[in-house]
Amino acid sequence: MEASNWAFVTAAYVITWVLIVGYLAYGQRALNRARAEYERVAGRAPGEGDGV
Amino acid sequence: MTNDVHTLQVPRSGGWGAFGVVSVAAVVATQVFAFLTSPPDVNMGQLEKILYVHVPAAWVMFICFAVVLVYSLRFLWKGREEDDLLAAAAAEVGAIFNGLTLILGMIWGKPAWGVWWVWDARLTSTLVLFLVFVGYLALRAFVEDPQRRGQWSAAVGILGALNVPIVWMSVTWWRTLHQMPSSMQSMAKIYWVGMFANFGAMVLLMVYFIRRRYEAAAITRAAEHAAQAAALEGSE
Amino acid sequence: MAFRDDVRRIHAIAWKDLTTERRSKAGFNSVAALGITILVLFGFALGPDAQALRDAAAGALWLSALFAGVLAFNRSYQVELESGALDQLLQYPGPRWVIYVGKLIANSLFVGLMLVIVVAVGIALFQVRIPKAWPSLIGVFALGAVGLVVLGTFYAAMASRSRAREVLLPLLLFPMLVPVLLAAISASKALLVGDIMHEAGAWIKLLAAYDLIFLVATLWAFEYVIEV
Repeated sequence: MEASNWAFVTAAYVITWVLIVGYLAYGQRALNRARAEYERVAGRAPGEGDGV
Repeated sequence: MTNDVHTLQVPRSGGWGAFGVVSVAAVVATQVFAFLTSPPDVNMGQLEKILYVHVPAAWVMFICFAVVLVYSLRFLWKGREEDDLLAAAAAEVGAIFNGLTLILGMIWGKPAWGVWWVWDARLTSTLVLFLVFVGYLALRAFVEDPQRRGQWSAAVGILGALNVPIVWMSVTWWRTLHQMPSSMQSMAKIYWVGMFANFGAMVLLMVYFIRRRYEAAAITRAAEHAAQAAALEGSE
Repeated sequence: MAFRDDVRRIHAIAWKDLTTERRSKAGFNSVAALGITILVLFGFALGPDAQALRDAAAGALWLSALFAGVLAFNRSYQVELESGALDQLLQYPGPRWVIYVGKLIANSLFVGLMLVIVVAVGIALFQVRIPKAWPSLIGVFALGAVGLVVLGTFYAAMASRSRAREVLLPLLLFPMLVPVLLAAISASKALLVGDIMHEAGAWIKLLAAYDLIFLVATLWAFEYVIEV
């Protein structure tokens, strides 16, 4: 009983961290893409000077 | 109700990167803490360790719902795009934590109940709320015009949030009126320290997730505004 | 004085929707036929054992009404969308909620009539024994129908004007209707077998509360949704 429960606990934490790291990566990629698009259009990095 | 009056503030990243590192470290630390300090439960063996993520994830999901509600109301009231984008970011993050709650609930349930799913009041309500979130995100995906998307999302978000307690009540009645026993065991006090610690860390992570999602969306919108402005200047 | 104007406008919109429906007779007839067809399919899925059918009757009836009714909600905006009449309608003076209430009334009559037909057929197909408490059952159906129509009409104001409207309306609507379905089906089931545990009362109160809350909320939110 104990051994098989460890498998479930391990699976739970693996999935948890896959989700966390995955969403962190997704968020960072989206942010990088947004920044690149902004620089392409506005000619300067976002956050410099006032808002457009 | 238009956003011509107020120009979208482009967010600066500032110290958020460091905040992200801190929040992830906090989640790791509190999980390790929970592992080391909680003794195995008499009935469930090591299974209760799953609850240290499952329960805080559910609480964080509710906070995200509340954020969606507040910022949707604010958007309809003031018409600032920032509020719409923040509500949308909170909805997406809320859906992630909602999904995590469901998956962990099922992983906990298989050894505990013997099956991958029971129509338990809490799990079922969480599933319905997940579908409500998904509907909100689908609506945003299918509507292009930002003003329309913002107002429609706000209405859907507010109604969805309004429904949360009603869904919870009706599903719980549905289960208890037929005298189905509650499947989730109540936990001894010794676990609550670890639980709240994990919850605190997870809130930090939630804030970071929402912030990052909001930044990306706001910068994208600002880029669209800039492109429009450039196009208008070019045509004069 | 202004209220009388509003009532007149509501009446005009409801009447417009209903006469458009009457002139295109295909509309109601096909939706009712679809409701019956879905009911028959449920019969195949759950039957042919008489007791199994009776146990499932409440659920099958409500789901058939829901699936057929979904078509009615998008259609209630379709005519205006196709002819560009919605923009014209928005240009007339008057608060927006009168458009909403007019459509609610028209849709209520439409869905109500469809429900009567589907229930009549369902009683036969699912070998339902009509209980002594049948007036309460009618009350449950009325309250449940209101819940369906209120949220269906509201979400259709958005879905009918977006891409992928056929999938978006059910996707938005069905999760929101879970309390209505649970309450209506549970109350119907209980009443059909004599309600020994007296649970129907609680469900009926929930239905009434739900209807009230969302009627108010959608009335408030409609102008934000129809203007843009």
